[in-house]
Amino acid sequence: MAEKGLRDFFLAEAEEHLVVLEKGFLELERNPYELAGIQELFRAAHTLKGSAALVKLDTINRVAHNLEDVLESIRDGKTPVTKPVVDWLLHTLDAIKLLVSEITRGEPETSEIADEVEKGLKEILSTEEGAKAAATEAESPAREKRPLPPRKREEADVLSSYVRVHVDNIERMMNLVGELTVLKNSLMTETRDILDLKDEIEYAGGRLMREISDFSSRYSYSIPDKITYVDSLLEDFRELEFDRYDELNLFTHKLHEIMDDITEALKDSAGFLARLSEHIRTIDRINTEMRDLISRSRMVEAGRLFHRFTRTIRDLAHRSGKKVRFTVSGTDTRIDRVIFERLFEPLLHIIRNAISHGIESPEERLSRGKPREGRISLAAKREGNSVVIDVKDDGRGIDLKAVYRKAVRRGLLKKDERVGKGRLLGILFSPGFSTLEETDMTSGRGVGLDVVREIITEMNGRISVATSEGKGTIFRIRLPLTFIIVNIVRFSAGGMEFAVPSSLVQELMEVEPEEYDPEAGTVALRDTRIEAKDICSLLGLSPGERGEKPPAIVFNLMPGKQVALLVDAIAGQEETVIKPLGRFLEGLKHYSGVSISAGGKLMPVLNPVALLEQPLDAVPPRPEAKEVELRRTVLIVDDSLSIRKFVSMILEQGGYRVFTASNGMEALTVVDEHPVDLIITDLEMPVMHGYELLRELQRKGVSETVPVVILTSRGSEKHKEKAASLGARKYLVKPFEEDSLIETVRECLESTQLT
Amino acid sequence: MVEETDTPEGNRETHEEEYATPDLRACTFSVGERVYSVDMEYLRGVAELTEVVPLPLSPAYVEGIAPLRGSAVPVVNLAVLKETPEEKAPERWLIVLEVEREFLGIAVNEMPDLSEDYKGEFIDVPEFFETYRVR
Repeated sequence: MAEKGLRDFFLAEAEEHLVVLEKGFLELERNPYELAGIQELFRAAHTLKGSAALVKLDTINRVAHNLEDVLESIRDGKTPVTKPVVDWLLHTLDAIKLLVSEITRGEPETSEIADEVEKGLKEILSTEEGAKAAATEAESPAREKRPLPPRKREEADVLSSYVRVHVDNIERMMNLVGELTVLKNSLMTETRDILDLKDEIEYAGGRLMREISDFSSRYSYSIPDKITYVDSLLEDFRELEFDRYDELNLFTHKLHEIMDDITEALKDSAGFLARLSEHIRTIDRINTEMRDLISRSRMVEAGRLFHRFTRTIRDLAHRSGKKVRFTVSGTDTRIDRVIFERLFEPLLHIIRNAISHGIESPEERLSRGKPREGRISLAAKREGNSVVIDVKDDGRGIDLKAVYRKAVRRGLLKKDERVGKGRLLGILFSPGFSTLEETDMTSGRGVGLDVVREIITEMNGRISVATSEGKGTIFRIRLPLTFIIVNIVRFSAGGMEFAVPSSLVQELMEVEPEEYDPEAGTVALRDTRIEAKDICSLLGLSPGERGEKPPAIVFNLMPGKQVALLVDAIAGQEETVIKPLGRFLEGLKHYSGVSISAGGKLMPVLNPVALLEQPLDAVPPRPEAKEVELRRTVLIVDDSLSIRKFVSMILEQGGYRVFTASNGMEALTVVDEHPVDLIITDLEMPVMHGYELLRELQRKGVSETVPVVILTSRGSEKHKEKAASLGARKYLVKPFEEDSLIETVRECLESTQLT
Repeated sequence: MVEETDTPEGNRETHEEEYATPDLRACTFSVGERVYSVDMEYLRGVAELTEVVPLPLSPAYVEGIAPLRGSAVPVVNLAVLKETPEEKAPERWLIVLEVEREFLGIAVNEMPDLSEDYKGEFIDVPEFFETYRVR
């Protein structure tokens, strides 16, 4: 267990060293005299060797040791950087990668790999002598250029301030922050409630005070002088009244005092509440900051992704006999780890296409007045809450005429249909546009671009393309900065609240009733008609109340393709944390997760791509293991085993649940024990024949609700009439057609559903 | 794991039983008049089930999702799954189960019991998870 943990640690570390080494070797190849970076490479090999030894990966240890030796010898000027040396370095790197992937899969190391590496090393060492002289002259200036020591120290400082954290831990921290957010939100609403309560108490206090003063003033007004007392005895009363007045006065005075106390206490508590709200606001701020920091820590530099292509491009260009210069920019742009991992394949597709179909051969380039070397560049930049990645080449561009011809051939466009450039480029991403590599050779590009788009939209991103004939092509990928905090558009439909990621929303619109055609499923948007779907019918909900012009969300699903989604009402836009639905529900592709709002309320986040593009029977398949939903049940009564089996098979394939019985008696037992929706019975059977069964079912009142179908070899009218008189709904004669049986069953069940 | 269940050795030590705290290894509950048990090993808690947000287009036995400590748990309705209809009580509980860091909830009308023995139908939680997860 401990060793397994250590190995994981090693694997994570190895990947980084390999990236450093690969980048360095390729740099060395481009610039054999620039040896300033060699120390870093030496250290990477050295650490790799040490770590491998620690977790007892002997072969990696051995290979890395060889690598370390050669790098040391290059560093010390003993071995010149020649083509065979660089090739050996790259080959050795591949060997280590191979070994690492074996370990990742849990397989043992193939020790022969080390033998091969050593054999290769011997070969270069034997040819080294001759090459040495050539290298020595070039070596010295490189060393003078940049003194090693200061840079080394700087790097050491940087390295010592890093620790390695498992991604799971970051994820867990993020979840905890999510919980804190929810708690903080409810604390905020609660303090608001208390503040309201305080206001109410203050108001009630004020009323009390007013009542008291009203009362006392009325009282004091009514007593003196109003009544003229003639009797001295009454004068005494007056005295008495005064006493009582005093008492009341005292009482109201006391009430005033108490009220003052209450007001004072309220003031204190108001101060306390103000401080509390202030603290909660601080918590809110810290929480947001923490959330940002944690989500940033699961981000990686785009450069790490880009450098993975250096080698691929070199190899591909070499193989196709083309010259390609690969440049990167915006390498320090930070992208989410998930994007990092999932973007490799799509980018590789695009780059591969660019090399094989975009970049021309050196001769062709020269004849067109372009530099011999083609250019491919990868650039990343941040735009607001998105990351934009451009893949650019300066090749021949996409042949739009060829795309058009092919789209017509594939039935994606009608012959002579007029389309704009945008629409044509959009077709490149359509499923089915190009499925085979060889067909692609004739038409320009498009290998697996539908897959590329699929991967990108799954990450709530968008891809677009621009091309210029003879000048080149740019693919632009726009992705949300992170997957945890996403900007969403909230809306309601059928009494429920949903959200969609704003990154896919092009605009919100109001649908003029006369411009919406529900039958054709289109709506007018400015001067074009676009596809329109109703969220309620997609999700099987009954629409809630809608205004005269119901709102719709317009999605830009692929270049040139917009779809409007009609909803009940738009509720707003906000930043939110989206959590995945988890493995149990991951098959529900039309949801990209769930948003948890203040107070812990859940809101499903829809995935518009899956929702709008998949056929409407998007209900996921039910688990096969057990009957899950309430399927309609059919009872088959027949004394022939083969008929029972055959009919069962047909009905089971049709999605029905089937019971069987070999005679009327058994059938009655089944009916008693299980709810049955339909009975199919033979007439001639031992023990209890079909007519008896019909009579019994009629007596029990079963045939009133459960239709009975006769399936018999007796085809005469006499039998049919008798069966009908006993309550049989339908009459089928053997031999029968599979389809007519299914049809009959369906009809009978439908008619019972109606009643 | 297997050794922990009843072995002959366990029976020999019956004289110690008096002092031992009861070994509660089953969580039992009933849905639609049927009794079920799950292994305590997978039980992560029982929460009040206040609100279930339905997920349109999901299988009938998935009642929806319920909030739980800043996260969402799928809610399975065993009454639908096992075709033993029952009315939902006004106050229900959610049995929260965990399989390999993934959560799953079973909605019940009455608070479940913890007991030493399995009762009724035994639900193997990892297998249940695999069988009924939506693919």
